[in-house]
Amino acid sequence: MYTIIDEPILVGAIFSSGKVIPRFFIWNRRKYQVEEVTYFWRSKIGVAQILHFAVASYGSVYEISYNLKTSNWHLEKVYVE
Amino acid sequence: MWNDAKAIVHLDMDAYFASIEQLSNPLIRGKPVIVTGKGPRTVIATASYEARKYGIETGMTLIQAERLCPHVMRVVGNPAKYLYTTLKIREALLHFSDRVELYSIDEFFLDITLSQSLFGPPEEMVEKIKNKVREATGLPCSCGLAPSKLIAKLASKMNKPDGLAIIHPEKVADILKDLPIEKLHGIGEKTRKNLSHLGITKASELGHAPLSLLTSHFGVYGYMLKSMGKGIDNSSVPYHWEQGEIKSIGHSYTLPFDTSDPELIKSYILMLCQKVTTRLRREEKSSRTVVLTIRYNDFETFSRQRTVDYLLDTIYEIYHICLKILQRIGKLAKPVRLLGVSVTSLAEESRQLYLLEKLEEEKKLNRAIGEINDKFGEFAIKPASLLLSEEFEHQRAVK
Repeated sequence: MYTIIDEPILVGAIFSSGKVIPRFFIWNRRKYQVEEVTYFWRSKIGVAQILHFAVASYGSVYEISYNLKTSNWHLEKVYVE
Repeated sequence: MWNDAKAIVHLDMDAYFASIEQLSNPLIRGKPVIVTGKGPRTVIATASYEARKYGIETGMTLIQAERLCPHVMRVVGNPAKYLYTTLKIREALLHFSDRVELYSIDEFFLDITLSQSLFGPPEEMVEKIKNKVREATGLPCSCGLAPSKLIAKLASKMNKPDGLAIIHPEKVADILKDLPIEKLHGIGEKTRKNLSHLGITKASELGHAPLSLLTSHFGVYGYMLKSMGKGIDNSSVPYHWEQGEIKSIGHSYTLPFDTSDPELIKSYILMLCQKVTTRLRREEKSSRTVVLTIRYNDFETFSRQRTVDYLLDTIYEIYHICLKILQRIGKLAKPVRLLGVSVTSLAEESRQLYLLEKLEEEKKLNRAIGEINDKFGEFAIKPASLLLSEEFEHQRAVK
């Protein structure tokens, strides 16, 4: 079941050749290693472009997003079995 | 074989939204998954093939699905995710032909007639197309290859999922011989019933029916029906740059609870008018026809429209027409479950100056509101009467 989180997070990512690859994120003072980016897509809110990543980490799947206008990362939701 | 016949491919993504969600989340792969809207009263947009084994189908309510499969996993749909993927598919298909038509969010037509010198015979090319789409997106699709769009669309359904069906020109008549008429795209339930009253239940019977019989019952549409029965479809796949002309813009909303409250219904209609107006402005279009759709709590659904002889592009103009439609409908027979507002007969945005200062000011104000909402998000500025529907939703949520 997905749980909506909607909280700001810190993310360590590689920006290279026009791509963004998240490597880990920190949420509630815990570090989550990104084992796999399972999906990527883009959207828009107003004039801001948002990059979305579905990432697998320690048996759960998280949807995180990056706002290109504000340079902020967000944890949107988490799926836990 | 193909000779001078066209080679048309219909590509249909398999359980599209559910497949994307399963690809996105390894924990739900191989499990029964449904993709729905947000509220508790939503219906199913797509079911994974695992869920379909339990009899779950598109259009069912959540409650119906959970009765059939109590452990079904529900995912709320994400239109931006699906649209982004559709555009990636389109990009992959443009590798094979510049005649690529986005038919719906999960369907495409391609005309590969002239691509044979680059990619080989159509039979080989369509396999390459399937592989290219999977390579680009990780998703399976089913394809139909045939000499026309009508038959290609029929073919793509034959071997789902991850299937391929090829109907050569000389085989079209065989396929249509015993095909039930409702399998032909464009023949809905009403037309099927009307044709069956004439003793026509198969495509071949439709193709052989006297034209005078068909036109006397269906008018000009009778010509098209006869052609369909013969498998004749001369419609072409446009060049990808030719497509893009939007024909209508609409939004619908399933209310959190059924209601007969006229003021609340008007408030939701106003909300939908604002959404429609926002998109009209983004597309730089105006319209002349407004369509209001109402679905009652027993799922009886109907639409009424009104066409005017001037251009509509402001929220209040469109809302005013909706109110006129509502007035003509009169007292609603049952509580309302869903409302929809759409506009058609689109034209380029009206840039005329109004002689009346008040009208000109209203237009400028609407444009300014729209620009602010574009920047800060939908409904950043909204009419006060929308607060009624918002308060209703808030109170229901709290209860």
